[in-house]
Amino acid sequence: MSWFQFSFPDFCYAFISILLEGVPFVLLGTLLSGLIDQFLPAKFLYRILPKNRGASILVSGLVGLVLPMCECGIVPVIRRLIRKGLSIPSAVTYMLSAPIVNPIVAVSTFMAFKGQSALEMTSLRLGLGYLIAVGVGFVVLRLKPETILRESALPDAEETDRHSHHEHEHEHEHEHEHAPGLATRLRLALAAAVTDFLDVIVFFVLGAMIAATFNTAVDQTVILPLALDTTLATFALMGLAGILTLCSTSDAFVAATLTAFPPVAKLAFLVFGPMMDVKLAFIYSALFRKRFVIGLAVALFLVIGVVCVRLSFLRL
Amino acid sequence: MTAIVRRGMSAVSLATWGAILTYFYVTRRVNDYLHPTFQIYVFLAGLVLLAMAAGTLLFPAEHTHEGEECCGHEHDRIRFSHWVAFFVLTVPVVVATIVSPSQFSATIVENRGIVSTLDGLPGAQARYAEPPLPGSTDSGEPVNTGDYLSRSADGVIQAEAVDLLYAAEDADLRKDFDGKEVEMVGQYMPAKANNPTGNRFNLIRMFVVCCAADARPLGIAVESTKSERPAEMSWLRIRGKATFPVEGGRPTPVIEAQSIEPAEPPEESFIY
Repeated sequence: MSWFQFSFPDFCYAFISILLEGVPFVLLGTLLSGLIDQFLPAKFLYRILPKNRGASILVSGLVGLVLPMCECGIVPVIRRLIRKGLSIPSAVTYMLSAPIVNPIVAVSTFMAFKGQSALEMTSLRLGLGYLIAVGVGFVVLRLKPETILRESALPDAEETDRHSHHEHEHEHEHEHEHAPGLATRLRLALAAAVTDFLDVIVFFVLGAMIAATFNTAVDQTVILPLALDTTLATFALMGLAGILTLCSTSDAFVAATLTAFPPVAKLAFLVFGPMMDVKLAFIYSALFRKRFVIGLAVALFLVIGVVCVRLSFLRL
Repeated sequence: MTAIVRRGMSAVSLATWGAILTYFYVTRRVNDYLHPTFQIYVFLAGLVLLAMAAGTLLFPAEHTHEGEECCGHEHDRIRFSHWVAFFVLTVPVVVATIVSPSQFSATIVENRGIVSTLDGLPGAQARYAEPPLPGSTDSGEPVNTGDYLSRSADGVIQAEAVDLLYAAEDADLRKDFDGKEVEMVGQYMPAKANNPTGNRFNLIRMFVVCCAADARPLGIAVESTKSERPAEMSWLRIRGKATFPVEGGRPTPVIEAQSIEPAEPPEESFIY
């Protein structure tokens, strides 16, 4: 049997199921982004995040514990937060960590791995997810915004300048002059949510098409022989996570069944999947430059893989 | 392109998604695609999208972004041409809704491999490590298992693939099924492995964690002397004796079929 057999009906079935599962969460993210647009004062982020950019990255990696978001809905949220003045490194850190470092994922991972070193696996997943996200945040800190974000997503120059100098008086006047009523703000929030939803969902559809193709056409049994070698198994499971496009709240239940694979390979599956898969690569493209998305995917694949292989001394 | 056409395209796109999501939920077609936990979200999202479509048409606000005029920044538009985006937003999802057969073909079962032991069942470790299993109490005392077993009108145990996989791993639970007449509904797939006598096939049920894209085929071996074999993935109702011969060093569930009949797909084709 060939390793690749495409069936259009199977593709359509998987495609629709991915959309039905993901669209409500994308919508939730875009509604939240619309509300953030109209109701979150830019100053708020300055109040809750440390002024020091390094410390801000470290804190952003933990925001998912109080503001959990799944990977499908997070892009419109951070796009809006960036426009509201959140620094790009902090936004990227939150984007990568929140789908892993959150209480729902902690509980689901613990439950899924009951009887398989659940506490260790859960701690390692959240800990490694946090460290990788923060590490990426510090790398992004050294990059210029125009090399990361699409032109359309770059923060307004005037706004950035204003924020960087903390000239909030101007902002206050600005808000005061226009202060629209609640109904107008809700209407504007809806308009922002519509724009964000349509922008992101285009990429989601394209990503779901690619994911459904791999999900249905690739013979997944071909990766089973790779389970015997820790390095191959680790990278193979990350590849599998990339094509399965599972939700981070439930992927642990699938990972726990991969009993032939070493625990570090499952760990790599659980950390890499919520940060990058074929569907996410397209969703990220709504906000980031293509080159950045490709670089991020390659870096995550290599770093998570190498770290997990190095952790194989742990007896889980 | 005028603002009104662009607004119309946005509204049509939103309405298409809203209508499709609502359609899947209202017709219960969603059962064939998603775990029940996620189904209500589909309905709510469908309603919200329909409301957003109406709001976009009735309350134009596309160029009233706060501060746009005074600050001079434009809406953050993606670079896709509006028409291409409109096509991507509407055509694939409509075509897939029409074409999608609401069940996978045999190719998918072969690609994913049939799960025939508890090890390969998503979430089984968690449930298996957590008492009480059916057939025992918190204290581990055996209970009257007749309370939990579903039976047909003539008293035959209606078993699911999951029940038999658990029974294979648990001696107490196995007693409830071993040697007894059971009825099981599932999809036919030929047995390409673990078929020592050559007269076995697999009865498949798809096990789902979130959505059909992660469905795993659970298979129970059925022994039948009938030489006729139905079409792959056709639905069958099997009645026969549940047995657990030791194969490969562990008890393996095998149904010795007494009757095999075509069946309608169950209302919920997945098991969870």
